[in-house]
Amino acid sequence: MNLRRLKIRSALAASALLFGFAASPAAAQAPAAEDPAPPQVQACWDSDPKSAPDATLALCRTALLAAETDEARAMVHLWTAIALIENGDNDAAIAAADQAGAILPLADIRSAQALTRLHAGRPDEALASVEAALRQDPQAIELRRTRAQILTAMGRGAEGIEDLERLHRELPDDVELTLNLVAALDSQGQTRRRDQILNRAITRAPEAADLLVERALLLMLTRPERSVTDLDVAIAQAPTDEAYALRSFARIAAGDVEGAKRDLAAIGDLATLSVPALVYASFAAETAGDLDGALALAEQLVESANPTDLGTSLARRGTLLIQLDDLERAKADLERAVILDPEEAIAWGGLGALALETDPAQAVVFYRRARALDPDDANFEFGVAEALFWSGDYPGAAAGYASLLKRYPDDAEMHASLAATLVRLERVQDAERPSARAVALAPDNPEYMLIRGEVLYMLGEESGALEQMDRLAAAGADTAYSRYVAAVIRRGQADYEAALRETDAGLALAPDDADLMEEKGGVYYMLDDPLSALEWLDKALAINPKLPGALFVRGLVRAELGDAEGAAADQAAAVALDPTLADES
Amino acid sequence: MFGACVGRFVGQFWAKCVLAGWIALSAGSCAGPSSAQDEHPDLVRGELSNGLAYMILPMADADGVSFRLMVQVGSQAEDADNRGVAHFVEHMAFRSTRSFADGEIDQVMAQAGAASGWDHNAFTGRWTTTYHLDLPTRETANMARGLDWLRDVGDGQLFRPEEVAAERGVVLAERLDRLRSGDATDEQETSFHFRPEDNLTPAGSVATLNALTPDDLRAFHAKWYRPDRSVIIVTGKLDADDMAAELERRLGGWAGAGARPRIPTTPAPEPPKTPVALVLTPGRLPAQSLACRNTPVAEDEVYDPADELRETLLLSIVNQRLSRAAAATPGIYYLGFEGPNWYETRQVACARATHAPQRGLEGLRLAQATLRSFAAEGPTQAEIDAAVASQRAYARGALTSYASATAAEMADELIRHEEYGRPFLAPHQTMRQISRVASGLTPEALVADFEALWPEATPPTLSVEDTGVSAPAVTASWRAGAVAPLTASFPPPEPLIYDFGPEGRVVRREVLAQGVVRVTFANGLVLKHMATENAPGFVQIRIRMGPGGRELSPEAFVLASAAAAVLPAAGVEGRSFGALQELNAEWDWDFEASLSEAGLVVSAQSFASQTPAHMAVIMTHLITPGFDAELADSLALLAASLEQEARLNPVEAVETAFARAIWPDTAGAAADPDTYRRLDPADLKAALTPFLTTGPVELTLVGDISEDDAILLAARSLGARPARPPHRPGPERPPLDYSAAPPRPIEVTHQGPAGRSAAHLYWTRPAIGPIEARAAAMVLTALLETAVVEGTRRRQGRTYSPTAQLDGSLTEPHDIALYVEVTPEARRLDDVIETVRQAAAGFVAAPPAAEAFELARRPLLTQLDALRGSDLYWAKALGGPADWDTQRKELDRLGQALAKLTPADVHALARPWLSTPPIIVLARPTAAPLGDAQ
Repeated sequence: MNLRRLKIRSALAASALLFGFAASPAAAQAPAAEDPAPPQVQACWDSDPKSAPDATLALCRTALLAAETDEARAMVHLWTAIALIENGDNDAAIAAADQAGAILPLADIRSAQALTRLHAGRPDEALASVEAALRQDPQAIELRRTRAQILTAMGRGAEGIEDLERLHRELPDDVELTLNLVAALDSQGQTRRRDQILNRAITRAPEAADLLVERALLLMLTRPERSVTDLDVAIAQAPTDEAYALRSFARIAAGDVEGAKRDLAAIGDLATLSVPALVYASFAAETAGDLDGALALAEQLVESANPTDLGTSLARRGTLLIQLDDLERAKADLERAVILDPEEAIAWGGLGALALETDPAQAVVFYRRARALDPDDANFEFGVAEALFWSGDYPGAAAGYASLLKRYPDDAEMHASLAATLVRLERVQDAERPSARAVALAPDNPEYMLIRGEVLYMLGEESGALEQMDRLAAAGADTAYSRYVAAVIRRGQADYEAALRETDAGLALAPDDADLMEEKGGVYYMLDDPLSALEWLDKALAINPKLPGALFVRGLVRAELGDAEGAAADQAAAVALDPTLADES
Repeated sequence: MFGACVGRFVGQFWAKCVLAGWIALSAGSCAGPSSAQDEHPDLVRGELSNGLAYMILPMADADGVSFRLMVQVGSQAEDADNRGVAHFVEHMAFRSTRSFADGEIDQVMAQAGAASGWDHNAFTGRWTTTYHLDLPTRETANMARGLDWLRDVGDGQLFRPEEVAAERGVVLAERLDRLRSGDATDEQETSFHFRPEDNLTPAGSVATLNALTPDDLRAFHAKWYRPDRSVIIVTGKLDADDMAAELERRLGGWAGAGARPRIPTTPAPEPPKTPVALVLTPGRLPAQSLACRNTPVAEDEVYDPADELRETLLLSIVNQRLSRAAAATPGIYYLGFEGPNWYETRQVACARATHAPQRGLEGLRLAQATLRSFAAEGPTQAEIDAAVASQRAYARGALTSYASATAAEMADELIRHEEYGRPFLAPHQTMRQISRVASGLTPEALVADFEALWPEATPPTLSVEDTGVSAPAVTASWRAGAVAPLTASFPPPEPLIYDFGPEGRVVRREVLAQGVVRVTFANGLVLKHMATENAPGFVQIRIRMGPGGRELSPEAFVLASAAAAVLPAAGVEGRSFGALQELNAEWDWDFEASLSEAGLVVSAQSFASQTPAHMAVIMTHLITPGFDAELADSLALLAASLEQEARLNPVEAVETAFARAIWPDTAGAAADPDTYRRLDPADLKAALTPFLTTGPVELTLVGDISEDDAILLAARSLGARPARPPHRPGPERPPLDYSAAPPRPIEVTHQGPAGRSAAHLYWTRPAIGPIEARAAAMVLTALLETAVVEGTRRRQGRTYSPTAQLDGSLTEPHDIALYVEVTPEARRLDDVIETVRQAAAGFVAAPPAAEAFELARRPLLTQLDALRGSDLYWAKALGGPADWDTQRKELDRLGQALAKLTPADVHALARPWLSTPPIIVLARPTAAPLGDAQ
């Protein structure tokens, strides 16, 4: 490869970076000089137009004066164009690229002119530009590849495939061309042909890292182990951040969490990663439990995304922000995502999750929209059921969980959710099996223990219920509610001191829990300690004056303390709130 | 009359007891709990114009009124030259005062229905002297007279020389009466572990008591009896404001002269630098060995009732473990962790072992090992819960008992709290305090508390009451124990599961009277039920079963009598007495069993809420009584104890001698130490079997229980059992009589303190039939006691507390006796016996004086009235062998008979009865009386 060729390729590769999927970023690097260039020119080329476009513009402005050859000046203009694009100054970028083409109208530079237009959001101009160049030089490979690339980006990949196929036949060992063809075929859903092309290319060049990476990318979701193997070879050839990023996900998918963590740690510069690599690495980090790392990758994803991908990128970041409890930013991201891309199911699902607690009815709407957009994603189906549960539509929720369980019979969370819903429907007997199944599938999950304990308690199997509550406490996963349930059970067993310990432990977790206060007061009443009972019932009723049970027991306590008037008032208030208490009087 | 804070284990609690009370009044900083603390909402505290603090507790349902005047002075205020003066002064309050002539106050109070020695009394302790007056009614005049006397106690005692001379003998006689075997060992032990001063009792010494002059008494009284060192307590159905005004009127003029004195303090005991040991010559039964640790008290520590409750919980848990260890170890009768005694700068906690001979070291080692294990592993949550439950049960019990308490009982409660400086709480408040302490109480916190009391690194003081052991051996044993491997704790007993069979069926119900029913079950059980409101929350249980006592041969009677007495302590099959105690600790409850002419009688007072559980415990004893090997240990100890008492205590010596002489084969043998020495648990069980398996069964339930509940209880307990075959009676044992009495006095010697003696004089006769004669016998007995007290105590000053009693039930077919017990100094015994004979002769010679007759009769009528409100009385009446109609009219008839009784009726009864020569039984010391030298 001669110098010119090298430099132009570098410039094109760099410009291709702007289009993400279209070219391999591994090739993007500053022009390498075989002949020493003036230092000002070298400084322009050494700068990074993507991460520091202003510096590049300043350096390249000086370099333009120092450039002694047309080639050097053209390259400086091209570098300037990249920086201008990064700054959003599209017109100036196109002008700079055109100046490069005017100085040195080579096919490579004409291609860069077209790609600059494509990035500037002017695909028609880009296509016109490259076709104009092709008319002057119909066989120019760079121009033909660029045309196919532009057509693919415009959703008209099929129009370029024929020419790319021809090129590929002519230059079967051109890795870049092969990749262009693969991308074009992929965009048209011609996966079989795509895989055939790619596999043949790899057979011819078994250690071609770019090809291996590409294949790894394609096999990531279906055959992660194979992806890992390809990437192992690719990394052995060229240990790039991109390959590490992709392998992190492949390893996660293959069950190798620690290996994935090592790959994530090996990534040096997030800015060098492609959008797919960022997406995959972000998922890998999330799955490995590194939410902060996942968010950093998602931040870069949003940063790197082109307008077409921005909705997806924002959806990704938004869902991570939910997990990180930054709900305000999450909501902003997700709302922007659905505006940019109303078909973005993940964003609708994220909005559903955000609304789940505050407005479950709205959450039902969001989740249903997500489900309509992506019926195969069980998360949205589950979200619908969850939202129905929280909005009080227990029959609907139960039907949803039951439906999901047909698809995922071994999903513990689904069993637990169904059990909890059936409890709300007072179908406790029916809840027994799913609650048992949930605990059997995930014995250490605190929420499932709690649901199981509650079901057993309602079925009268108190020792089993208490066993679950004790396991919760032993695991340090007790909740105010689990303590409440345990206290109720222990009170029922006349183990009052233990019941008090449960209420105390619960109140330590939730100091303002009126139910626990009511329970504590009730236990004291059973212990013939009306003064303590009164103290805690008063506290409970101060927080929630409409607790019929607390009012009822306080009536009993007041009667015991000789306050007949107060007792009658409490009893009347209790019965007004809960007429069934009249039978207890 | 001294007592209160003085007892056998005086060293164990009096420092704590009185320091608080003493500080309260001497520092003037605390006339009661601070306002931040809870106190009974009805209690009214205040102070009269002269500084006399008062506490008034209005009680809506009380009949009478009770007064307590507590003066902050006792033996701690004495010095070597006047030991006993505080107690002597207390006695003189019952002699001549400004408002009452000598003996008059007794008569005035008796007319008001308050019996001397019972309702009208006083107690001297180390730190306080308390005067008690319980009036059965709220008659204004009587209350005024009572308050006048209490005012005289404050500044109106006259200390007339002739009365001081007579009372000196009484005080000396009381001192003698209170001597006990083992006192010397107690004193050695107390001096060693605590301070020699802690042995001081209000009794004083013979030398100082003989040397005290009226002026000495007057000076002591003037110095210490001051309103600003006293508190008066009033309880009853009264208006607090009115009573406060009355107190001001009657007692507001009492003034103290000069500066308010302070009671001298004694330095706190010093801890040893290394383990030290003392070997005590065995003198107590059972022998006791002690290990104590003396630790500093935190400088900023202030009394907090919550801390005390927490300490109670800790001790409860630790002692439960010690009890289990003792129960599992033959020869170790008891292990306990006591403590601590509080001093101003130190506290001393002790582990005590009572044990058989040659087991002292083992006892201490066992206690040491148990305490070390506790410190290492801490209490379990179950142990903490059980301890808390036990405290709650006490509070619950107080809720029930306070509701039916008399004014006197509440006054005594107030005094106890005031003496200890504790706030007086209503039961609900106590329960709340328990809740607060229990909340958040962790095993770790209790271990920390324990380690503060019993730090392993603090050298102990060790005493062993045993033979064949040396002090170095004791310390060496302790040191070895301190590094021995930790031993496993003894596990708690398994709970009992009760199942007495299918619920019984009622076949007949008869109404005996309004609210009284007789229900017969298919298995033959007869339930008698009577619902009352006398004592809310309480139920009297009485079971009568099996053949009558007279249906037994003398031998069987003796065995069965002993077995019945032992039954509650005999455990049940598979559970020892100790295990049952632990299982039932929550209740602090027990039952009694005895053999009567009408069969085996089991009786208990139960809480209404606990009656089914209590009944289940009784049932288990009746169905599967224990009498296991552990009991043999207890029987041996009991025999030794009875034998020692008969040998050292003159009164016991008299009673044993009398029983052996008159009824050697039956009643006498049943109480004879020799009998118990021969007893075998298996024999006892066999002797009781006929009562538990044959003959009729009758259950009586009286009190706060509905008929439905009573029937259900019966149906699920005794009514659920199989029908019992009838008992086949053998030859009937003849009634007890006195025909075996020898013509001359029965005279024995005792080996107790030289100078002590005792005598019983029995005037016997056949059983009394007519109710009028029974009323006369009761009055005659009271009159005879008054006459003996007057002659031997008030006039001669030779006795402390002579009594006259009727021996044998007036309603059973045995001979009966009217007998007098006197316990004078040995050298006065013959004179005193003669005085008693003369007193009896006086009733033969002439009818009693009308005034004396009335004074004797009035308290009896009051007592009869009180019985009408007693569930226990009605349980006995309803559950007795006599028909109900007769029983329910008994009180009325007796009351009517008493009301109609005349001195001539008493004379008519006394003349033949007391004319006969009495059976005299007396016990003198083996050595010559030592008189003042002791």
